[in-house]
Amino acid sequence: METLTVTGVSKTFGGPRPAIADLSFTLGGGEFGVVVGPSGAGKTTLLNMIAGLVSPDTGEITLNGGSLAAVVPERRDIAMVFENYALYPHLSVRRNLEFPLRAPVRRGQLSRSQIAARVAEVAETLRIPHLLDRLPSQLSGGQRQRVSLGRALVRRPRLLLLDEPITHLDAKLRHEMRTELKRIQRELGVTTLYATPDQSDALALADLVVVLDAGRAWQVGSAADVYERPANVTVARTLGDPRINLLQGRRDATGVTVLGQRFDAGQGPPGPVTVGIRPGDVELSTQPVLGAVAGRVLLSQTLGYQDVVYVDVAGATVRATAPAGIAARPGSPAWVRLPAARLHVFETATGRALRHREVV
Amino acid sequence: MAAPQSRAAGGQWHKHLLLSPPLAFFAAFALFPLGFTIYVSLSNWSITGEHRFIGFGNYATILASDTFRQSFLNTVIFAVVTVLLQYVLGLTLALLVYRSTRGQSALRLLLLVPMMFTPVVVGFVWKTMFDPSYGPISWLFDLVGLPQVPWFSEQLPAMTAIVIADVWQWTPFMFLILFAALRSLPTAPLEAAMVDGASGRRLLFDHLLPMLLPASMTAILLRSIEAFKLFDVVYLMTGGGPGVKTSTVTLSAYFTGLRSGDLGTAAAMTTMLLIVVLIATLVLLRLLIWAGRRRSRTDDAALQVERDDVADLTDTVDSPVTTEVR
Ligand SMILES: Nc1ncnc2c1ncn2[C@@H]1O[C@H](COP(=O)(O)OP(=O)(O)O)[C@@H](O)[C@H]1O
Ligand SMILES: [Mg+2]
Repeated sequence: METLTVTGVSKTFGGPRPAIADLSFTLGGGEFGVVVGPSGAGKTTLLNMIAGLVSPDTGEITLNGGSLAAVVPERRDIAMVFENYALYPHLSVRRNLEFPLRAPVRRGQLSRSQIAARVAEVAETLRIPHLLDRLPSQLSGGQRQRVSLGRALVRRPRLLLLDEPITHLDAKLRHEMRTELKRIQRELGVTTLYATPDQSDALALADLVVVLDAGRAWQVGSAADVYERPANVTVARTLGDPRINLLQGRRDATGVTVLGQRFDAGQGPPGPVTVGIRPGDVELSTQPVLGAVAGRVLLSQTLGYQDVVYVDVAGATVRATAPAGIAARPGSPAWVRLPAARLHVFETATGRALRHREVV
Repeated sequence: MAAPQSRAAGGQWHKHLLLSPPLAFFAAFALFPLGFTIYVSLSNWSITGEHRFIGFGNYATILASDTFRQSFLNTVIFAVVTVLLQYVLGLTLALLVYRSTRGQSALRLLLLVPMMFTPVVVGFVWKTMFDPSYGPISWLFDLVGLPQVPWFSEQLPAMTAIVIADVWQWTPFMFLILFAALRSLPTAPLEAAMVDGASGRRLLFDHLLPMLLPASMTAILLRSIEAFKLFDVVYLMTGGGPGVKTSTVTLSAYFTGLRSGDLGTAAAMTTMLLIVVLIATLVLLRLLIWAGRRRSRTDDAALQVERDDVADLTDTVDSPVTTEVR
């Protein structure tokens, strides 16, 4: 099992902003790392640098202690699932899956029947045996994505890179594939780095989360770390669905004032702060409650098992989750209570976290 | 259901009506000359105008004629050799140039220059180049101590000279098509192949060239059709000589028809050539369609695939209601 380290890596493509800026993290052997960030964050650039398709301007990438700087892509023994499938258009699905096993650098390692067995096995796992004789042009988007996954899984690479491997699948299949991916990764024990814009992938899969935005790693840590203890506003905003509420507040010597209410929040320098609270932590009521502020329902979305209610409180919009079927019609009054223990506090100027919510 | 179908049928009828003017033009300008040529080839039409239907007599004559057989053989040799050389050279140049970042546009323009000359000039320039007494090539051979080559008085050197001139002129065409095709290829599959362990020659032969196949077939098809009609360069450089050793079918037809006045026999020669070009084109076109089908996605296939998806991914419990729609 190979440990991946990325140390002080930067890459600029000639634009004013670097695509990757001074990025460092360590992914332990056999771990599942997830790089999460919006489109344009630099995820593909990072994966391409690790695969050797793009060379970093500065910094070093090592696999099991050995620097990859002088190793050409075909000798790195890294498998990658590309964002837009990148299937070989002129080869059948079967030949696509066989290719990594037949490539010159691995010639002679497997017999013909071993190759056929591997291909059959991976096709079975990904439910594509009936597609083996088709050409990529004859497949739907989801099927192409599965073939591209299969091409990476068919061999036993030192490192597996996945660039948004399941974003183009429909929701049901995406959930299945996510579970399946995690199972396969556990079974193979291969160190895996997975790039995705979907925060739920990160929380569901990751041993290590790298929150990437505008080329910077805003936090590196376990899923619990980045969700419960976001180091800054960017991380808090990236993770969690529905998104965290970020409200303007003020800090004085001993507490924080937000939505006209004051909470004790320990010692600290006074100044403007951003108060974060997860919609699930907001207490919503259609009746007046002690310690709650009154507002008006703007919108209510149902997710089936619960509703997300948008409440206007003195000009600020607060998102709260509530049991499905709560009588929250747009325009009706609602009361919102923010439990003091659940507040995150960030310095507005820098976005740095000053206080995290307490975990129960 | 029925209404759209009958409307579609009505649409077909209108389509034919609207297409009739261009079809009439096609008949007048393509089919009529073709039919006329075939008729002439079956007559003893002479340049003075008198003619009589004589069946396949002209064909029997030319098939028995050594001159024609030599010309025919030369035409095929020229076509195969020049197109192959042009393809290999054009491809090599395109591969060398398409990834270079500096000076690419200047290089590209320079490579296209030969194509801008008229064939007459090309023939004249190369005739001068190869001239045994004052041509620069003879001078160059002298300089490096090579023996003198009788460029235009023996068959093999003469054919070589013609091939060189034609390749010089038309390699840019191949280059242009292949270069454009290379530039429009998706890079991701090549990157994937690198990550999967391919490099250098394997990358080229396993991936780049197969992905380039449709463009290659198109370029070869276009050049082949032209190559069978090779005339100007041969006419200017050797006039078909020595003797008729570098003659082509077009040259032979020209001499028979317009110099000797035997239009019937000349028409038979061009008809023979037409048949050969037609067969070659059909074969290449087949290959092209076959190569193209590997990449393009037909709507039928897409539909088929989406239904397969439903079949293999949906549990039996929530059976698809959508089958009703069809
Ligand atoms: N080859 C390239 N040339 C110039 N800019 C690029 C190139 N590749 C990526 N970029 C830029 O780098 C940034 C990060 O891109 P990318 O890594 O593709 O992000 P992501 O995969 O997270 O969507 C973007 O601003 C993008 O425009
Ligand atoms: Mg990307």
